[in-house]
Amino acid sequence: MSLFGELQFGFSRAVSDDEDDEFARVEPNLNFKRKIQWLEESTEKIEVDELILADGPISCAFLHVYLLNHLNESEKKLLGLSATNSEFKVFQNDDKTDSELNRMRKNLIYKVDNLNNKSYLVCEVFTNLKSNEFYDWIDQLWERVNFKACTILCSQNQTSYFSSNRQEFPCVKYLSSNKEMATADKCQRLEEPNFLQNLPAAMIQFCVLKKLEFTAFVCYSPSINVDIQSVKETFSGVSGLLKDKNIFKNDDLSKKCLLNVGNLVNSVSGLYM
Amino acid sequence: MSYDTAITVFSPDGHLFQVEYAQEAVKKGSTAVGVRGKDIVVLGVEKKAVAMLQDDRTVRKICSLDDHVSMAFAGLTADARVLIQKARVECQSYRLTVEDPVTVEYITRYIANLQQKYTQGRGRRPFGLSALIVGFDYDGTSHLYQTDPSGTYHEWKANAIGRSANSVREFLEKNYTEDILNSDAACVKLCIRALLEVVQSGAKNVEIAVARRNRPLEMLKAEEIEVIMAEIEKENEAEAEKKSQKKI
Repeated sequence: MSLFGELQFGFSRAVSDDEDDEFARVEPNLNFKRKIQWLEESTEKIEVDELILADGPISCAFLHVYLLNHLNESEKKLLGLSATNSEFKVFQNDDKTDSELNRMRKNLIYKVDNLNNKSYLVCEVFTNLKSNEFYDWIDQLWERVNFKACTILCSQNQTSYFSSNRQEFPCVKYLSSNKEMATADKCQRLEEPNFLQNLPAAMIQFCVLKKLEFTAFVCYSPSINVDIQSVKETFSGVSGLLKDKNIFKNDDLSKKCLLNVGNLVNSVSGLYM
Repeated sequence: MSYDTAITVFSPDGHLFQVEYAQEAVKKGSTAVGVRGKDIVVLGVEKKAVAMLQDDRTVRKICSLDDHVSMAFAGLTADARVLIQKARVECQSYRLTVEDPVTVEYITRYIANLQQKYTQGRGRRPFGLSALIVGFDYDGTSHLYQTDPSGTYHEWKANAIGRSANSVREFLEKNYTEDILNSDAACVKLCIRALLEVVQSGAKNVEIAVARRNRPLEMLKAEEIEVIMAEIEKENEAEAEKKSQKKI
């Protein structure tokens, strides 16, 4: 649509067969694509018992507060991060004096050995991946790491929850390959017509294809950023369902960290006071 | 037809969704607490973490509307700035016209009327904030009012707005007694204890303002707040010990 006075740029319908031009168009896209940047090259595959994937700010905050915060540097090994090429260059040149909370935003991947006699690969995906990045990301992960089971943590806005029953938010629902898993007070099975999307859905599809066990927890939250109540509710839901198999700790250290996380995320925005 | 995009349209079941959404915006702001005593009114707020290079004097949740009236808000910062500016002008205009200072109820009603107007005008959206307005009238009585985006206002003995306001209000309901009404120190302590329900301990995380009759608004110093917090911690420890001994 052309408005009076608007400058229209000329264009040609001629198709350019110049291969160099095509390559020039593709290359910048690769630079902006987020992928797993491993810190050490290796031909051997890493074996872990379980993958824990946290997708989104609320899930990453949950992992940070109730798991990673309780592990010291010797208990968790940094294997890599999900980043674009330029983000990875910045990370490599970093002086690594970032606080733990700032590191939460860097989409780091840790290996945790010997936690409740199991080994885990912990993936934080604070910044959501784009739709053209999911499957590549999962393939890259599977090329380096073998895991037998997967726990997925994600969050969605409460407006995307459909139910004829009245529901209080935030709330946590789960979806599991284990059909006999009992529901907990604070964590009911995700019912139709609700669905998961984006990276969690891609990971579930991958687990189904590879016949791996999975349990996905989705927190329906009123907030798109980190909201302390939503993180707390996620803990109640997850610990209620996992019970004895729960590796997440809630103590004074967690409470302190939770308040810090809330402050960190909210300090950047001047929109609300 | 979507009923939530136009503020002047009621939904079939009587909702004004934009006003309700504005009330959700209030919950995104940090907590503010007000406690009213006979000779004192206390405002306490959760201090927002300030970026390293930011001047913290420009990040204020408590402000004066006049010598004898002050306000704390929760919600959209820019909306608060505009509303505060209008309220300050009204306070001075009233003084010049009537040659008397505004009563707390008058300025609260002015702010609430403004908020209500913005729920009916076409092309406007509601103000996304709630306010706690405190002060003393010229007859010496203390007041604490609360307004919200719909334009309603009520007087309170103690109240909270912002994030986790419900938990703080529950705490206030359990712990507010008529003795607190008569003691300045008890009012300040209750305000700090209520904030500590949702805020990390430490004077750097809270700001406490105290309004007294015929005196300008006073911000408590960090050292004073630390002393009160230390007292509260001791009392909590003593109570915890009592409970554990009872169990035994």
